[in-house]
Amino acid sequence: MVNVARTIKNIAGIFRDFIASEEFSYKNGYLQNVRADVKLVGIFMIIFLAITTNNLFFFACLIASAFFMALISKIRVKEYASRFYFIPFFSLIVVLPWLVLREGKPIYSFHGINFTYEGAIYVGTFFMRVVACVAILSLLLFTTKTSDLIYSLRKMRVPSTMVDIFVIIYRYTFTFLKELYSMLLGRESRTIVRKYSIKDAKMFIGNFMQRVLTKNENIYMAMKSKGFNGSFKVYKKEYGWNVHTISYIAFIFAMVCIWMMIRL
Amino acid sequence: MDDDKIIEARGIGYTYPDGTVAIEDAHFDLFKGERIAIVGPNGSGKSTLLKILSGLIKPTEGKIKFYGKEKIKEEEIRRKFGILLQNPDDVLFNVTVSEDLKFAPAQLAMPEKKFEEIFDYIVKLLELKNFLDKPPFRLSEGQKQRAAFASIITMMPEVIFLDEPFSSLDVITRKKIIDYINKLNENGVSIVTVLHDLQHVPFIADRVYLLNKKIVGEGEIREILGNADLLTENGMSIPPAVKIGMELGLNPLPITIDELIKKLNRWYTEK
Repeated sequence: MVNVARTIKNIAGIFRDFIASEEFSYKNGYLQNVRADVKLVGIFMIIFLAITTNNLFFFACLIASAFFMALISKIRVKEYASRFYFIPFFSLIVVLPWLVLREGKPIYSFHGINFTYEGAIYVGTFFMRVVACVAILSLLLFTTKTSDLIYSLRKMRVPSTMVDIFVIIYRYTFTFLKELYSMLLGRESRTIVRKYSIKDAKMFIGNFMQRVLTKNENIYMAMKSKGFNGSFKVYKKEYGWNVHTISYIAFIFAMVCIWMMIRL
Repeated sequence: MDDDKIIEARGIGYTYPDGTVAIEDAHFDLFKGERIAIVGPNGSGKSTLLKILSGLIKPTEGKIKFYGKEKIKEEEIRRKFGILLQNPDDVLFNVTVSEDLKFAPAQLAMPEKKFEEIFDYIVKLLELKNFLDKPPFRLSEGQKQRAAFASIITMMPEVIFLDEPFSSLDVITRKKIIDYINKLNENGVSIVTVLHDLQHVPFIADRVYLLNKKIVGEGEIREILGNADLLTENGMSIPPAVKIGMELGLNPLPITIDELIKKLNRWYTEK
């Protein structure tokens, strides 16, 4: 139980840091200088390409490009990877059973359980696809300010309700994780005898839900006091064309060409 | 004079859904350009009253008029009132400090140029530059309080409500904020501050409401801070300057340490 609490605390901390990675958007790097609307469309296009192919080479290209772009966007590789690795890691845990569940040519046997070649390919493809998509999507979140994202989504005529829901989820997830982390930290700081029961866990969850609800009410009150009336407004942005944006479009075009070559 | 009345509250009461009574039969008046402090012990209903007065929650009893009107559009209040809630974590709900500072002006459609001017000024004044790109949870409590205060000031409100604004601030920053608030007040901004520490009251208010579920005292600061019986009866500690002044039998009683020092200097010189 103690380890579970500590694991949840660590996961909450990692998730919280992932969302808080917007701080990178203030650096003067490559992707930070790409127009937010172009970046948004480009990244969604790349994700579309990634989910419509099973080619490992294509995934490898995407992952390498993502890390290269992170580097020229002044995000250190270690910092970049450490903020999103947990998503592919969890996806790997979820997909691992397919190593034995997928029927096919056995490559290894352990007490009558066959690990198949088809299973390994399936797991590998799935994992690589998740790494590629998350690495690319993380770049968007890490290098774009929330207000730029909102403005770009509105500019692309995404329905206002959808944008507002996205922003609320984004903000409330952040609050939820911050609260969970601080509660678990507080609990850990007062733990002397490390013995928890299911009853403790149930009480903790109840208390946590209540606390998050109160917190969210307070935050809503603060938002209301700052003029929020149900729809998030942002200042108009003046996006110009620059060498960063043009080279980014060229990169997307190159990826589309590789994808087409693979498909044909 | 009534044209200058911003808030008029009568018979205000607030009971929480679980039956806990926070405030009973309270009254309150705020005129343009006034500096008012609401003081009281813990759990006396100060923060609840502040939320009612700023129109964030409705009282369960009593009537409240804003700008002489019982019914007023919420948007009108939001444009004019800036509220700094007690916990800076509630005020700083964006992912970075910079986004937090931009939030209110954008919601209120303040011209961007005007916002940028006040933004640059407040960032410099409160030395926020180094953590504009930081997520608020990475800041110290004092930094959070400064950032939360800045996020209210960028709205350029007509009335500022502050709930325990100095609790985590160092002396220098506290002085800077008090000076800035007073400068805003000189330009006609009304200030309502909730405090539990009476030492700051003389620097931030001209009139005081002492709240202990009900309004138990109301008047000029000297009148309230100098009333030791009223303060102790309601669980408040007497400010050190007043206490020393009482012991020495000074009349009128000093309410700040500076006043006390001046009086003592004069006393020594005369002796």
